[in-house]
Amino acid sequence: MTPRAQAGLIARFLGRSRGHFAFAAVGLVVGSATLAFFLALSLGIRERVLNRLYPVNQAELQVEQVRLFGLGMEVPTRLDEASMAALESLPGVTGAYPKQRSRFQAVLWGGHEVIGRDARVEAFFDGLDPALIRDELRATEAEVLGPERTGTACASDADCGAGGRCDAGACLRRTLWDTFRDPGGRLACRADPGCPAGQACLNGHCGVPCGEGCAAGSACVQGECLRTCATREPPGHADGGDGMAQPSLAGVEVDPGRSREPPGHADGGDGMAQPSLAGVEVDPGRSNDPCDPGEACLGTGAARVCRRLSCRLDDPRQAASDDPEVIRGRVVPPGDGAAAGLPGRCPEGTYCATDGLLAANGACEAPLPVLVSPFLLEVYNRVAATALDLRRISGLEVLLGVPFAMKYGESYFVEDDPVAQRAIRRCRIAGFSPKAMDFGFTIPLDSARRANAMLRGRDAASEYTSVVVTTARNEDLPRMIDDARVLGLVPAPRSEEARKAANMLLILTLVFALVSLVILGISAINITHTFLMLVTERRVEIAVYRAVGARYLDIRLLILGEAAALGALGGVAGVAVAWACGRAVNVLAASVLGRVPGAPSDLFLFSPAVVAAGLFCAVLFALVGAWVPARRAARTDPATVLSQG
Amino acid sequence: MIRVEHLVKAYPGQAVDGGGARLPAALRDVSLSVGRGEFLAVVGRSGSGKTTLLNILGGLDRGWTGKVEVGGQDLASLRDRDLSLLRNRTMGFVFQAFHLLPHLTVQENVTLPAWFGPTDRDRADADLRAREALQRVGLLHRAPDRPTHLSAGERQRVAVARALLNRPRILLCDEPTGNLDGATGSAVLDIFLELNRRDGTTLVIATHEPRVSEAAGRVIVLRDGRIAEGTE
Repeated sequence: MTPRAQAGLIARFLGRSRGHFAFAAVGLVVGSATLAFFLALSLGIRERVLNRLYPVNQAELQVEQVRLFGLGMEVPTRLDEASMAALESLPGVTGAYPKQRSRFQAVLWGGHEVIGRDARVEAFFDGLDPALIRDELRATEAEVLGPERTGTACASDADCGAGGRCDAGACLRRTLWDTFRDPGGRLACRADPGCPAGQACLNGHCGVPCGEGCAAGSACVQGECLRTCATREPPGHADGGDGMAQPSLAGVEVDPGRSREPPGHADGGDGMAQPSLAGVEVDPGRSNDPCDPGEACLGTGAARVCRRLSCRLDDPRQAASDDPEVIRGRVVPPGDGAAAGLPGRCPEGTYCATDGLLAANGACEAPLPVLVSPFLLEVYNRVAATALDLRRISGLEVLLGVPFAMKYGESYFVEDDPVAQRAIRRCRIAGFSPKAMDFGFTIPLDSARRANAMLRGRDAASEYTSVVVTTARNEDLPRMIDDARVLGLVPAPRSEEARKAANMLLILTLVFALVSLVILGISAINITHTFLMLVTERRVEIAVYRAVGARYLDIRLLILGEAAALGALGGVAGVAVAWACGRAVNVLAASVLGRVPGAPSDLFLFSPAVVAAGLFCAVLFALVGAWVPARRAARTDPATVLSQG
Repeated sequence: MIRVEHLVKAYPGQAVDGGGARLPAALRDVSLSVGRGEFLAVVGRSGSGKTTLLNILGGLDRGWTGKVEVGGQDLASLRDRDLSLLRNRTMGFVFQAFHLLPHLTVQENVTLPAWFGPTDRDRADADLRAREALQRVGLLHRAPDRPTHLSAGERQRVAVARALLNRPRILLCDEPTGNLDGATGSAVLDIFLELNRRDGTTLVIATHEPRVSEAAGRVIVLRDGRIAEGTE
């Protein structure tokens, strides 16, 4: 018997016994609906609530508050680079991403674009390694702003709107998730302790000293390791090909002999002597891609390095201006060389970050990219906007790209730092994450370290507040946590709560899955009874099939196929019922939980796996139920049945 | 076409020789052969073993001893798959009780053997063949009807048409006229005779009706599971 013939007969069977089958399928529908409902709920909560705090293979650890002694070793009381190295060496650990809180007072103001007037509040922030959160930011941004590839045809970037790019004839929208990285900056100093660990005070600002050599991709210039940048020769070389004179910046010296780069790299591989003073080129355009915003690619040939542009405001008080043109200041050429080719003001998108409130000099910097917790937005809408009669913020997308300013060293709560130590820095909202501080915001880790070093010195910038550790497999996490205790690290409260909630959720899911399976088991017994009755009713029919050429296997497969079809129909109906119940629960939850900040709009995740599980279990239990009847049907003795008349 | 040697069939509670308190076997040392195109009538009283013999020849009954060959194939050595194929392709069955399926139309009942063919080609022209078979038994006009709307004679003719669908070389009929009145039974018998004479179909008919046995080319009489009369 061919599968097609079998399918045809099964369809006839099903049609004939609709009443019996409808009754038999009730259990399957209820069971698969229960299973799909609770699996989708569990997945939804895990994915949309818990996983946004901490994925199942991550835990945030912090220093145990009580000093412990055990196993003959002293538990460290600092979470620093040494602790990081120890953590990363633990079995199963794939990464350790430190976090560092701000260790000084600050206030912020801004937001008139979205709430109608500038808010002024105390600023709390922490720094987070962007690598930990990049994928999440990208996904969140896509939820808020839609797919990056918009589908709009284009010929050039101009066709794609502000910030958009034209790629292979299709527009890519402006993206912000990729801006969440340390934009760099220049930290003025008087001595090494004023710089973050690994940096020294060089020529009045913090930099990486050449010491025993520079890392790959950087070169030693005037004792400081600087990133090398584009080495392409511009057309015309001498005049840039556009007839404009190239700047000649004195005071830019390159010392390739102190670089760890291979000799071929340091001298461009052509064996030519490196320039030292004259013939310096400036390329602040697209060729200085490796350079941060506010830097320019300076130097000649292979010795071009990224140097942060110095700048100056006419008046130190201009640092607090809201005029973006004013705060761009004027670029000051390094040393006493000519400034031709350098931009007159800090490049667009950057501002002149002065060394302090009393200083007019500074360096061009891009605003700090900032992550905000959706929870904070909810709190603002529910509490602050209502109490202070401010405009409510309708959605996350409104906030993306919104700028604000922060004044380091001032506070509404505690005494201000001396005015000379205070400084103004600009920020811009780059994304949203539940991992951001609930009552504050989060910036890239290196930015936070630089700020802490600036206000509180090297020690403050060397110690981390906590660390997010990722493991290769979920199963590795408990062992990693146990191992980390020996290092004096314990799960942070937020991580511990997420873990407890995840465990509770797992237990509840298992319980309800068990209940579902019991229901399906009962339905399988019901199916057995129904099919036994039907097989008895169809004895003659089955015997006739055997007489006209049906095999033992054909009869068995007919009954099992019928059961599988019944199971599939029951499974589809069950998943549909579960989905409908899920919608109803969402509506109910929205009316009850609507005031809970950060509550997801959809608690259920009907993933393909959930649908497949519902269908599979319904079909499986239908097959199990029909197994014995199918066997009995196939064993029908045609000789006896047909001879009885 | 058919060769039977020392066939013995005993149901539970039966003994080959009926020794002790046990009943004698349904078939005891039966040997016979049926040539291609032959019309053999198996007669005997109820319980003599006629139906059992037909069921064994058709591969519907197993658990016997001896040797049974149909179309050169030893039934004892055939697996279920091959035996089913033999029933589907080589044999046709006609039962006293017709055994038509009431939920199918006449046409669908006749095409039933095509559903169990090993390839989809078996079903490709099944409708055409079914109409030919119905035409042959004079019931083409009843093709869309349900069997419950037919008379007993018509039902048996439909059963014959079903048996003819795959153009079998052997037709095994168990009391085909047993439930029919005289005229109707004669009409069905005429169909068998035509099949035998025109198509050379081998007929083995179990009957206790003289008119059928009289029409047969050869007759064997079964008594208590043994061939009492007739040619082995």
